[in-house]
Amino acid sequence: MAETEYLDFLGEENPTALRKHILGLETLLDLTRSLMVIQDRRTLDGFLLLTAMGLLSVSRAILLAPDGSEDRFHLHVRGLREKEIRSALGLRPSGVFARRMRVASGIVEVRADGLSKRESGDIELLRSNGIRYAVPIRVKDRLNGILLLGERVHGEKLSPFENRMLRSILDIAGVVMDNTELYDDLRSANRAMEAQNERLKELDRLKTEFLSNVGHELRTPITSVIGFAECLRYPEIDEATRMEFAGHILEQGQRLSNLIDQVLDLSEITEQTLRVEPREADLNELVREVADSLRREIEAKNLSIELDLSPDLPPSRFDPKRTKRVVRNLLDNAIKFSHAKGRVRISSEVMDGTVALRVSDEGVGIPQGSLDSIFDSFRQVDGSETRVHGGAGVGLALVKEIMESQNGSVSVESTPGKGSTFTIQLPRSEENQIPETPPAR
Amino acid sequence: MNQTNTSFEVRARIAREEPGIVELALEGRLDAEALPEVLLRIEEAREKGCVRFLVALDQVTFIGSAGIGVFLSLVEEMKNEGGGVVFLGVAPSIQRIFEVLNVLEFLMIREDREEAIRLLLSPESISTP
Repeated sequence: MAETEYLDFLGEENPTALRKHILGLETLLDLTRSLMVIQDRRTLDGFLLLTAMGLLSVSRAILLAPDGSEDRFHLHVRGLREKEIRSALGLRPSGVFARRMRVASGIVEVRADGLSKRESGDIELLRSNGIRYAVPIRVKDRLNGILLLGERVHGEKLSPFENRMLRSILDIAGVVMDNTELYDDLRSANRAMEAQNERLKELDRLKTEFLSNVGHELRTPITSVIGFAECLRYPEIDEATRMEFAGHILEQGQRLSNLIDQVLDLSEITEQTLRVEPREADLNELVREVADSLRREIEAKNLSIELDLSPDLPPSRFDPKRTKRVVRNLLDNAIKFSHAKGRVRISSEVMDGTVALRVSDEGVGIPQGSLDSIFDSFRQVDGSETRVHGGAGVGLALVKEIMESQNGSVSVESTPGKGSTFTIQLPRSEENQIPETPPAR
Repeated sequence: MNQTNTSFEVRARIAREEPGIVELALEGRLDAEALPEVLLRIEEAREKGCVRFLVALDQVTFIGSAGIGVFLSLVEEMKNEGGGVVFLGVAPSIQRIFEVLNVLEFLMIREDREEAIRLLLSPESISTP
């Protein structure tokens, strides 16, 4: 309806009641149109409050809107000393007043009787500021807000038509409030998805880097294997050299096999199918085996290895195969990042009621800022380090995953330039709870 | 709302700043769509410490309920602050809306600008319209 036509209906020849009806209906129309374009809850609440005030000719009003999942109301205040009301009003959605409004039918007088001292104080505050009535804004049983109103400026009572209009407006508003909340949720979900998307992109980048690292890692041992195998075909080679070359091939073959195991383990992590089978076992024994298998690498860098294993270490529960991989990865790293002629120390002890193993080196160390991400998949502190020292960047991710899946943990302390210490902790075997042994010397 | 007729757009501007008074000149259709701008102008003036408003309504063609709500609460708030609001040059169609809602006595309306300003500057007359 064009406004001129409708304003004609407001002409003096029409009775006041009819003019009120027309104005009320126009308000409803204006509100419905407006609600379709308002997309956030705060704007909607503010608009609804002003509309109700205009419709009922009220100069003081408050809208209490539940503030998300928290037990408090967001306040829209009009015609009152806003700061004073905001700082003093403590009404909460969980309070008796709000619970009463949840079941109130239509407009009710604001009264303090039967309320707690705190809530009575709130009602007194409202009444002393001229607030007299409260109307719930509900959708089904859910309270979407409470409209608090002062006296009408002309002092008239609410007519049945005005009452119906108010109910209609609040019914529509209740539904629109739901919609705006859904829209708000949708927006935050969208933001979360964008963040997720960024993480996926980062993961994708790291995977690409990983593939390139794996390429490097594979190339070195394969070149050795092929080279030494070709040499073996020459009949001139004496038996001792032949044995030495065969040893190199074996060693590099094991390195390849280890790398492939890592890639397979990693795929289990990403597919979330990594399964561990913990059983009671001897950690010291496992450490000796791993250290022995890496003797060649240790000798190649002229490192000294110090095993300081507590003889009183209680049995603990772990998956021997997976844990061997953990220890091997930690020791591999310690060797890899040690300077030539450096020292690698492995010690076991009982720590905080768990069986702990420390692997320390005196190598390059890890910058403080990288300590948090060092256990992430594909993460290497520095791409150039990767190139110099080798490694696909999955070793520590595997360590963390394996340790956590068998109720253990891994932590790291490091000083750049001085070296790193990785500590793994395993649960003690429950049936063998024995007094804590002093740390190994 | 897809209101294509631009003549219905409201223009809320600070027309003149008398010492201690802000004149708010509104124009067009004061419906939900126009409301944020009107509220913004009022907010800006209040932030500068203004408590006396002269609201020119002669170019306003329609006021919705929310617009009436803005005026009623502004009058109340300015009273609280020791200031006041006077409406100037209300068009007959708007006057009828005020009549139907029975708010003519609550809103102080004047035809003469000088009289309106005089009224705004004397707090006693503001508190008893």
